[in-house]
Formats: sequence, C-alpha cells, structure tokens
Amino acid sequence: MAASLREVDAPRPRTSDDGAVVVDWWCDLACRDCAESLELLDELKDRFGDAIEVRLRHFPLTNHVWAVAAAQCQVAVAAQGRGEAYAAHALATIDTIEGPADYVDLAEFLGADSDEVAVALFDGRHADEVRADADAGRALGVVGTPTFVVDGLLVDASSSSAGALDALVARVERGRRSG
Amino acid sequence: MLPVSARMELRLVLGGDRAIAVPATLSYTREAPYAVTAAFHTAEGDVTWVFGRDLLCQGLEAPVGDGDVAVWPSAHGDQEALCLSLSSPTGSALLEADIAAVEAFLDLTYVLVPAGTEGNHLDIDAELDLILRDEDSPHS
Repeated sequence: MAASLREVDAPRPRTSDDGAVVVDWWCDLACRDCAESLELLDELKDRFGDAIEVRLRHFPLTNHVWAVAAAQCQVAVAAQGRGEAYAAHALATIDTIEGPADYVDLAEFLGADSDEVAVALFDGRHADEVRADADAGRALGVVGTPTFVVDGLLVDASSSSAGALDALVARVERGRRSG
Repeated sequence: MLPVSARMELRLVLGGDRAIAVPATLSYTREAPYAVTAAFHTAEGDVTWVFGRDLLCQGLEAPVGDGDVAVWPSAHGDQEALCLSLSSPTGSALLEADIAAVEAFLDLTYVLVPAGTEGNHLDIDAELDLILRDEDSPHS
C-alpha cells in the first residue's frame, strides 16, 4: 500500500499572496491518521519554512461522531488567531476527547475565548464554513483524510501515507519553480 | 384545537458561572403528541431541538435521559432551574430554564392531550397511506 496520487484541477492561484506554495490539508480533527500526519507536515515545514503555507481544510467524516463539532470549534478559535495550535492539540489529544465539551475546554486551555466557542457550537455560526470546506474537497475528489493537495497534485494518505512525503516534496519544489 | 406554545428565556451555560440569555419558544401540537419542540432564537437564526414530552416532565423531578438529550432539576440557592444538556454531531449546549415556566407549559400540553392518550391522536391509517403512497409513486 502507498498513498494514492492523482492530478486534479485545483483552483488557482496555488500560491499565497506572498508567493508561498499552498499545501491544502484536508483533515478530520477526530481522525487518527490525521493526527499522525502532523509529523509529515512538520517535516515539510522544516524543509521549506516560509516557502509553503499549510492550510487546514475541514473534512469531517461521518463515522467520527464529534468531527463536525471539532471542526466548528477550530474555526471559532482560528478566528481568534489560535487555529493552528488548536488543530494540533485537538489531534494530539484525540484519545481523551469524550464529547463536544472537551473541545470547548481545549479552547480555554489554549487561552482562547471559550465562551465564544461554546456559543458557536450552540448556534452553528461556523457550520457553513465547515460545510464549504468539505464541499470543496469533495469537488476535488477528496474521499478520506488526510488528503493533501499541492499545485494540482492530490495525495490521498487516508489508507497509507507511504510515499506521501516524497510526492509532496517533489510537487512543492515544482510549485516553487513555476510559482 | 390550537397548538400550545410558550416563549421563555433560557440561559446558555458557559464556563464557570458565566451564561448568556437565549430566548426560546416551546411548542406542542396534537399531531405530534409525544414531542415538544424547542426553537432557540439565536443571532444565527433558530436552532431547533425536539424533546420527548415525558422526558421533559420526568426531568422536572429527577435526572433523566442519556445520549443526545439529558434533563435534570438543579437548585442554585433558592433558584430552581431545569437543566437541558444537548449534544449532537453538529452542536452541543448546556441550557437552564425556569422550572416553573416549563412546568406551566407542560401542564397546558397535558390539558390538550392528557398523559396516556397520545396514541389516540396518532392517525395511523393516514400515516400508512402516506408511506405506501410514497412507495408506489415513481421515483424520478
């Protein structure tokens, strides 16, 4: 088994405003394979630094009961500027999460305004953003998590992550040359 | 007969002792005699949850429910509240209601449909007709 690779018609531009190659990371915060992909992302960041921009794109899977709640909490915390830390902590503590209240507590632990997160979980103010991410992923052919899209290459590491890092590195390098 | 509804202010419980007010409308109709619908009026529009009428009623006295909805009475000093814990894949909340307001609302529903007579109000034949007609109709 290896990660599956496919060329897709991803939207342009594929670089951020400051020229960094965008790595879209389709992630379910209640998914163990996504938790393991943090390591792969760290390796990419170590290697490329500011030359890449990793964007968390929500793709909550229906078999993870709290995945949508987790995604909504992450969007709420991201609006307060702590989105990256929140996603990393949520994934790292995946086995201790017992319900949505734990996702609110995690926001508090990270120093975010947890009241705002609790309200968002109740009134669903970020539900549309989460849905839009998932819809965009499905439109590109994302079916499981984690899946990465870099410069038009879709790397599905949901069944196996073998070879994913090499494929991503090669495509980031191509993206830097053409971008 | 008209449906029964009551508007009341609930409290969305946040961390610590913090809470924010959430206006809500509880409603009940004879057509769905086992259910109480709560529409919470939020800044983002209405959030609707459906409760078992018996569950709410039992929750006035003692903790009841597991899974998505749990209801229990609680006392802060001389202030009695009804706690509603809600959780679903897309949302979650702990709410407090004025227990007297909920009790008054439920009393009205029991005037409309007394306990134990709910089944008389379910039109099984009509429901079956609806289901069977759906199955017969061609699917596009």
